[in-house]
This record gives sequence, C-alpha cells and structure tokens, in this order.
Amino acid sequence: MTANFSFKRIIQLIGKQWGENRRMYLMSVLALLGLLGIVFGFWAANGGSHYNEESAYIIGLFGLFITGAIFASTAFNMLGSKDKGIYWISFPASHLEKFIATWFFNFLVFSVVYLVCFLLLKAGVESYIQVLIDKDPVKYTYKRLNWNNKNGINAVLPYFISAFFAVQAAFLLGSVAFKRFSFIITIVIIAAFLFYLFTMFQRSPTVH
Amino acid sequence: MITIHNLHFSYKKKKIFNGLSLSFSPGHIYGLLGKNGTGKSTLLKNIIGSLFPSQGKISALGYEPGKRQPAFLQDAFIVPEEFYLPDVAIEKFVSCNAPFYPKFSRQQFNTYLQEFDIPQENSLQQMSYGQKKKVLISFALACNTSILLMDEPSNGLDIMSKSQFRKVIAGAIDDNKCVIISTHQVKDLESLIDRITIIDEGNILFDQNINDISSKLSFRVSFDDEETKKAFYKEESLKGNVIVTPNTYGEDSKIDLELLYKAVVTNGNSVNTVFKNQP
Repeated sequence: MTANFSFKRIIQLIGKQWGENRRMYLMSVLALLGLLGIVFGFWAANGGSHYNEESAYIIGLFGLFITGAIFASTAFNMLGSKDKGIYWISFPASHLEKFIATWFFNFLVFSVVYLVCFLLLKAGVESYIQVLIDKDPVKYTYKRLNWNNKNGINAVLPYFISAFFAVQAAFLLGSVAFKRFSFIITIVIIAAFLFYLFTMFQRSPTVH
Repeated sequence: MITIHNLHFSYKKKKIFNGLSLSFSPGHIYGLLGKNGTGKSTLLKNIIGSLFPSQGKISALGYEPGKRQPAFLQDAFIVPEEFYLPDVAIEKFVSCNAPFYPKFSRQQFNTYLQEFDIPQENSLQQMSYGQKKKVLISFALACNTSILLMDEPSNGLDIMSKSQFRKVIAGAIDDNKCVIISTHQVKDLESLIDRITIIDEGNILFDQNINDISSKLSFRVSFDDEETKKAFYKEESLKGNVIVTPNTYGEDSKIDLELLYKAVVTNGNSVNTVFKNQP
C-alpha cells in the first residue's frame, strides 16, 4: 500500500464505476444477449441438418473478439471530452488505480459476462437442436466437440486467447490515444501493422 | 498554499503564459478576472494538474499538481465551466464520490442543497444546467478541500441563485481554505472576493486586495470636467460621468468591479502606479 496505490480506493473506485454506469452496463448485457441471440438464431435456422458444436465455439470466439474490441475501445472515452476528462482526471485516485478499475470492468467482468451469455445461448440453441433431433433423428445430427482432438479448435484456442489479450490491449491503448473514432483508428492501425508483418515475412529469405 | 513560478504554457502554437508568477494564500477568496481566452481557465487547470506547464513550477499544498497524486486531489476540487455529472440520483452521486474526500460533510451538503432549493431525490439528468451546477457547487463546498477552484461558477445561474451562491460561498470560507474564482461576470462576485487578479494575454495586469483597492481608488459619479479628464477611466451615464480616480482624500467608495476591470484593461499602467506610489 503506497500513496498512489490503495486496495481500499480500488474497491471504492469499482463501486463508483458500477454505481455511475450500471444502467449502461446492464443495457450492454442485453445488447450482447441480443446480438449473440441473432447470430445463434441464424446459425440454428440456416445451419442445415448436421450441426457441429465446434461451429458454436467459433461463433463465440469471433463474437468475443469483436464485442471485446468494441467495449475496450470505449474504456477511456471519458478522456476524449473536455468535461468528462476533467471529472476523471481530477478525481482523487492514482492513474494506476483508475486503470485497474477500468480494466476490471472492460476486461475481467466483460469476459465473464460474455462467457455466461455465450454458454446460456449455446445451451438454448442446443436445446432447440435436440428438439429437432428428437423429432427426426435420421435427418438431424449434432456433433459434440472432442476436446482431445489435437487438430480441432482446441489446438488453436491458446493462440486465439493470446490474440484476444493483444487485441484488447491495443483497443484499450487506442481509447486513450485517440480522442475520436478510436475503434476505427485502432482497427486501421492494427490492419496496417499486420500488413507490415505480412510483407516482412514475405520478404525474409527462406532456408532450404 | 499555491505558488506559481515562471509558468510557461502553450496550446500548440498559441502561447498562453510566458513566465507567469503568482501566489495564493489560505483564508482568501480570489477573483481571477480577464477577457475570454486570456488564460483564466488554463491557469485553474494547471493548478489542479489537468494541464502541465511547459516550463516553470507550480506547487500546491506542497504537491506538484501535474503528478496528480491522490493525497493532493482529495484536498483540491475544481468546478469547471463545462462540467460532467453522471446520470444518477443525487444520493447515488454522493455515495459514490464522497468517500474519496476525507473532509466531506453530508450535513453541509444537505444545507447547501436546501439553500439552493434543490430536491435531494432528483436524478441529475432530469435537472437543468443551472440545477446541476448548484449540485456540483454544493458538493464541492461540502468536500471542504483546502483548495477550491471555480471556473465561471455563476454562469447558468438565475438571479436568485447568484445571490444564494454568494451567500453560500461567503459562509463556507475559513482560514484554511483558498478559493479561486475565475469569471468575466464581475458583478456576480462583488462583495465576495477579497483579492482581485486581472490577467490579460497571460500576464498579470493587476493583483491587489480589496482593502488596498478601496483605500487607493475611488469609484464615483463626477460632474467636474477637469476631474473627469484626469480619471483613469470614465464612462458616461444618465447620472453623469462615472469615473475611477485615485482616492486622494481617503473617502469611502464602494468598489465597482466592472469599472475597476475596465480601468485596468484600458489604463493599467496608470492604475498600478497608484499602488506603487502610495504607502
């Protein structure tokens, strides 16, 4: 515990952030449920007759990437406006404490809430598919994901999660660095960076 | 309490301060006057630490504001001209924010809200700009911070609220507090501030306390052409010429902040000589 870091203040900051933004957070959860519901609904309605659990996880992971990036890009949008900025900056807590409280909601809480929403909707869609299978077991099938399969989605999951951390960090940084359109500007910068990496790899000599 | 030494500050290419030095002591209400864009708000933002000087040093309560340490920020409060309040009930706003200010008094806050006629059960987003401002001013005063900075606090307040504001501020000051009020609505602060600092183009044009001003300058109506010619500032009115002159005979005259401001802006060097020459 130092002058610039106090657990008590962090808890108070988390309480303040929840107290002042809970309406927005609850609306975001509803929006997330709605968005995932639409995608899963589309999948259930147009997925043919042979469903695959792996597809549900792929939907979930891409959804996590996109919604996580959008949410992270709003993390420090207070700094983009004069009135909100001075309210945020002159508030008696250190930058580290403010960052931890923001990270807590924009990364930790978001990830947990997303996971819960995803699993709830996945369970809902699976129930629907089960109803279809019960009606016509010959026509409809549902292939469960084999977590022991080394070539499936579980093989790329660690890389996907690492990439998610990196993208979240980039969008958090983007929300501080850019006053306006932080989401779009960050996407452009990430795309430019990936393009640069791609061209560098293309140019590098291959060893035979 | 606040010492500013050789402050330099620019917004990109626009220079605002070029070596400003100034100090503020506890127990006073300072009036920071000046035209739009002369650096009043910038000075307050430098003092609270939301802007950083490009050169020079600011010390407030022994802290460097730019470091934005919690110990400093919990003893300093700014009421900005453009302010933000979250979309919550007043009660929620207080419960979320008051724990960060160790000297916050709930009783004082309730008293100030009563003075301003603000119902406590209201949500902040339902309120008008003026009502929100009164809530923020009440909260700022109830925090009892040693430094209180207010940028155009009377903007958006109705006539009744302006006098309530003066009454509330006058009752809240004590020997340990330093209140700096930046404004160009000088009439709103009459009988409230006890030191006047006028800034123009980043320089201090005038910096005197009220007692010295009233003993050294006279604000009155004159019909004497000779006297009017020699005045630092004159303004025609229906009653005659309103003038600002040296208070040669030690007469009692009520300070007219608007006239003082105009006299300093138009004839600052002459006005300041009175304060240098007289004992």
